[in-house]
Amino acid sequence: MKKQYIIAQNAISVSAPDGLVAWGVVEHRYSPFEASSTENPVLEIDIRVDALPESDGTMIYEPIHNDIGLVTSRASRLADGSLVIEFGHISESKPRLWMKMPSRLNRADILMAPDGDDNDGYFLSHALMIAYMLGTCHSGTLLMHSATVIHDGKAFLFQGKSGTGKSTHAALWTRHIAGAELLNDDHPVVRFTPDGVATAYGSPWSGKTDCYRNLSAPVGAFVRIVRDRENALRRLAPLQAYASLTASVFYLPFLSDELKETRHKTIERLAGTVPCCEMHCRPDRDAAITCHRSLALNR
Amino acid sequence: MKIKKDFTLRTVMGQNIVLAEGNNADSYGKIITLNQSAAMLWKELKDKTFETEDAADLLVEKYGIDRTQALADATYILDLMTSKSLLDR
Repeated sequence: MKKQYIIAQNAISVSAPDGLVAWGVVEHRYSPFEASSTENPVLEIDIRVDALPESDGTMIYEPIHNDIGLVTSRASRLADGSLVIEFGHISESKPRLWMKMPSRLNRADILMAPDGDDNDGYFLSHALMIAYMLGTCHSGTLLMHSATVIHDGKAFLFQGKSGTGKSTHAALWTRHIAGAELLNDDHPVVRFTPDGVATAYGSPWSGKTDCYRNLSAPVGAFVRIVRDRENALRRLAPLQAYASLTASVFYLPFLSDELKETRHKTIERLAGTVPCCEMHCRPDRDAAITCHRSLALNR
Repeated sequence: MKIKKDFTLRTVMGQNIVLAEGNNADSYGKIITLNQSAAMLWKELKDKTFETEDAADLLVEKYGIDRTQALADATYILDLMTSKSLLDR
């Protein structure tokens, strides 16, 4: 099968062998973004099942595992400049998935090990997320680590380390603030529209929550969640705002200097145009109400 | 000594700041603003192994200050960078 998707205005194509179990497990996350468009995709992804090649490039990135603690990845650079990233279980040295992207980052060739594994869908979706992030970085597309709600036509992006209570705070908004709805629980996309509006988009990557919505809204505020005994919102000074955003934008150390610069410029622009705050809060109803009310006053 | 690789110097909103580019752990906090001479030293000494004397030489060369003052300034700046864990000594 071959399908086209548009995620945050970036067209990508995915082809996979019919009946591939791992793709079947995750396809519903991508379906809301399916497009019949024939426009040239910025990224073409081709998934195949075959024995994984031995890695022979230079190791450029040693793994840091992600928050779910299941996947580990390592990257190397081949002689022709292309990038190879392997994904696998943290406890096993043998990778389950192999992905190669040329130096232009406009395609991703994915190989999956033939012997099926219960977590292959997870590896595949994680690889697609990284391919998307790398393939769209040049256009100022940012993958944010955030639980995001839409309220009154604006997106509010809650940031924080895993376990801080982003999702909890987002859930409190949907429960206690009339009209608030979840856009994405883990990795929404943020980018400027051509006319300069910082906009948050839903994505197929929503962590443990099934929330794959093809919706977007202008960013109302970025809000870093800090656990505290009192509920209070404070606005971050510009440099703090920049640092706070930088910490939440998905990052890979092997980005080229040019892509790092694009990322930096986009974050700087966001920090200069969108309110960035810190919400000290408890995990309770009053936290959502205080946050919502204080943001309204801040506008 | 050497400047640590994990940090990048950038101009953000007109200020020279040093921060860790990210590690996907979403930990935030360390943001260090450098004044003009510290930023100059950072740019010149990045990726090099150097001594306090080399930093002092640069201050003399760029700002035309006397050697004793330059050595005192270099010591002060490098100690400050060390206290912020920006240098491997």
